[in-house]
Amino acid sequence: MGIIYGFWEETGPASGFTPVVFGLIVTVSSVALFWHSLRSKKDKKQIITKKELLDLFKICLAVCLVIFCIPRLGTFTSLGLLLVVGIKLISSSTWLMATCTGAGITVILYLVFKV
Amino acid sequence: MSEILAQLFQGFTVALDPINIFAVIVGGIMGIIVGGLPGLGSVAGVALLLPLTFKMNPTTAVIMLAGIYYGNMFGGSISAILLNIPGDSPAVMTAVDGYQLARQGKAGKALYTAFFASFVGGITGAVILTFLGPALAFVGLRFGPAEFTSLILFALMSVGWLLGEKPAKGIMATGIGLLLSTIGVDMIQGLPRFTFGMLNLTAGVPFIPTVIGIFGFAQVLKLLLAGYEIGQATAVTPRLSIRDSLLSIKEWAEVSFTAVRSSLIGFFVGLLPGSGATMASFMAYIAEMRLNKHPERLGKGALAGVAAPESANNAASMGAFAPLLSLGIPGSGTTALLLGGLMMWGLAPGPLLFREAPEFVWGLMASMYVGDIAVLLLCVLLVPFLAYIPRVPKAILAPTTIALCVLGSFSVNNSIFDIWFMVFMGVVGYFMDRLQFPTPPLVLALVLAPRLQTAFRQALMISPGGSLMIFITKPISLAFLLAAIVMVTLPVLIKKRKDSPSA
Repeated sequence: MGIIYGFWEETGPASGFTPVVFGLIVTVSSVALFWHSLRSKKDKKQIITKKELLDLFKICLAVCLVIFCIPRLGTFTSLGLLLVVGIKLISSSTWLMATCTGAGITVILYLVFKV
Repeated sequence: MSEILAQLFQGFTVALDPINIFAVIVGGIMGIIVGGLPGLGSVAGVALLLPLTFKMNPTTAVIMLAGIYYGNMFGGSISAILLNIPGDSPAVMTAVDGYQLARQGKAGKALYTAFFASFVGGITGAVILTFLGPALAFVGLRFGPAEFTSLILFALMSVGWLLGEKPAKGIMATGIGLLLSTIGVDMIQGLPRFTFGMLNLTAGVPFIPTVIGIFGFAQVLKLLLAGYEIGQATAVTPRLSIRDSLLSIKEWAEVSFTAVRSSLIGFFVGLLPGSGATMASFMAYIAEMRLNKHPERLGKGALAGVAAPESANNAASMGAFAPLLSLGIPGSGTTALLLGGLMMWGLAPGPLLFREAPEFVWGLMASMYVGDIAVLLLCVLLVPFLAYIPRVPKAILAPTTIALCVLGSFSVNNSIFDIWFMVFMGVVGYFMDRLQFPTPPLVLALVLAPRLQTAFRQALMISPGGSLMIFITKPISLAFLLAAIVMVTLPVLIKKRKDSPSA
């Protein structure tokens, strides 16, 4: 960025100045952290387990499906579906209970955001 | 003095407008609910509810957001006292004595103490802010671009260092925020940077989806992946009644003195960028341990142990408004969000705000008094129902928060891209949390970077020959730069001293 857009002009910083300087801050702190992690005997635990990663993927996939549905079904219908399925999957409630709760929350969200 | 009081009186005419009273009450209720829910916190609460205010006029919108903010501070104590799970980090110290009191069957008294102390903290903070804010703005008027550049650098450095276990992680989070701010069309030459041909990025990183992702969606991921159920936590299930919750005269006296003292500590700690409400509550609790007549009672269920952190964190939240309104420098993640919101409404917080938009500034200040009274009354009257707030099951809380994240991101520009970006930033925020990187410095950097670039550029334009010496030759600028250097070097020196074998 600094090479393409220039780093410094006669009148002051060019467009490439801030990305280079801010990039340098990140680089230097990364090197410091890397050096620290090499020297440190602690912090060797796993950042995230396979199960957590899989769960994270599932949640993100559910949200991606909602994003996919919004232009097709509408915002509140898509969010209503997310709420019903989400409540059903996380809790052990019945489909009827989950549908009623999800629909109720969707109506509240609609009233708050649209009305 | 009389001029300030006259301005404040004018502010009350704005704050007491029915729509603004309604806004502060609604904001307060939302704040209490969000603050009372374990695992969300004030930053997430404000981030999620920020899009709600876009249809309002700026004054009403900020009054509502401020209501959410201090409602949050009040509400944070509920889950800390009843569940031993602080709703937010500033309520960590409240849990120490509050939960002990709840176990002794005094949950109502603990909650009333927390609400009363929060009220004292809020009012004390508002009074100091009323007089300190204009004075700070007057000082700020003497600041030129060089001074502002150095001040922003100082704020960024101090936030980066003060938050997080390892200062390098704070600095790195700041750096990432600064880098994110470079995305979009450059203000100097009008060239696109890091847009990768995406039209959605030409205006820069979308602010609201970024903060909703980092604070809101990341919190839901944390909540869902943590594997614990809020309802099954170590809960004390009291039946709360107003009558049983009232304090005796002796208890009032004890709590009042502590609350005023801690409020003063809290306000001045809150003024410092990065220190915020959490540090204020810790410092007030430590001060209470030293100054209380019966320090042995603290930690075992003392009302003073609840009053000290609660009044301090509320006063600190008011203190954080002083640099925000007077200098345009937010001191915490929440005030950074408020700054972002203000800028979206076309207001530029800083020394000129007091001159250019007095009805807004004084309306906001007056609303702090009105808001504190309203939130106190709400808490006092709703105490029998407050015990139910932290019991909202994860099965309802998590999907509802996800829905709010999606809706909040989408409602800004009706853009699907914004939702994708929110999800992306949520995952980034989740991993930052797992790796113990503090997220507030990232948002603070994202908000302050455009001002930093503008001030830096302006400073060089007025500097003879475009020399960088302007930052050193101006005494105020030099003082801020030295303070920034101290902020960077001091923790390293302290750590080295601690690690050295002779220490």
